[in-house]
Amino acid sequence: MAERIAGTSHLDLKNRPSTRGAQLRMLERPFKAKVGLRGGEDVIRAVEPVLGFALPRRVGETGSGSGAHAFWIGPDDWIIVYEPGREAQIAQALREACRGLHHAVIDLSERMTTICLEGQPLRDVLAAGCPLDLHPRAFRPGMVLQSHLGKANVILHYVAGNADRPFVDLYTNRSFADYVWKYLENAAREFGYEIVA
Amino acid sequence: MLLITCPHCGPRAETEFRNGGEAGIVRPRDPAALSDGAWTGYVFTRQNPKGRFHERWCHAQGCGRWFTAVRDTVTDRFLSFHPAGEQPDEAGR
Repeated sequence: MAERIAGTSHLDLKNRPSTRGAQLRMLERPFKAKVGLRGGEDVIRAVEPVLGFALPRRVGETGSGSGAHAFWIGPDDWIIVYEPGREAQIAQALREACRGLHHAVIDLSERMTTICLEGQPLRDVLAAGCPLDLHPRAFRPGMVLQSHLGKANVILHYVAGNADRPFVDLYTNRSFADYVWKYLENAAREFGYEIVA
Repeated sequence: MLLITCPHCGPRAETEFRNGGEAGIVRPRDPAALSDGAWTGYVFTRQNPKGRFHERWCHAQGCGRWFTAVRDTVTDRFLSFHPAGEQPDEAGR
């Protein structure tokens, strides 16, 4: 297998200056397994037993189970996210379940990267370039929303936590990693941030 | 900034959307049979009304779906939003 290179590898995050102990913590997790799934009701019925949980049907919703999250991307469009390494196996299982149906299963693991944000200032930091309503009353744990940060399209997944200590995974195209990372650093400068690498 | 209500995602900021011009333009079934004038009309001629306008929008940085919105071009106020395939009920454009 070819060597995998993270979207921010050229930024040398390990040696990049940051503030130890700052409220906001950032890291890149480049190689999470991401599989795109498209299809109608027949595909949903075929796939749910394989996944072991229900696919989300409305904007903002996620489905979760056994270490996986399914994001609602569009009315017939999902991205399923796993820990690194299982993408080929998952994609194969989904393809087999959908055989004969009108569907698409695509391994997106190399296309997208994940930037993990943790800590209370992250709403203000994201609001520097994202027009979504990020107030705790609107953006709650377990939700996933698509929008943009500056000029880069992003998917925001509020993984867990509470209003004081939220955890958000930001998914963006791998080629935007440099832009998004520097955008976040710029926005986070006033709060201070710690890079965990 | 305008708030535009995507039929799938709800109200979102204008910057997430892309405008696609006038809605309801039907591609001629047999373009080769058309006169140059009729083809020019299909490709270029738009209504550009002062008032209600049916236009296409794409939620480009969201769900990626196209839909139809009725907008007043004088006030920029949106009057209704319709998913692809649904006709806005009033003909006033």
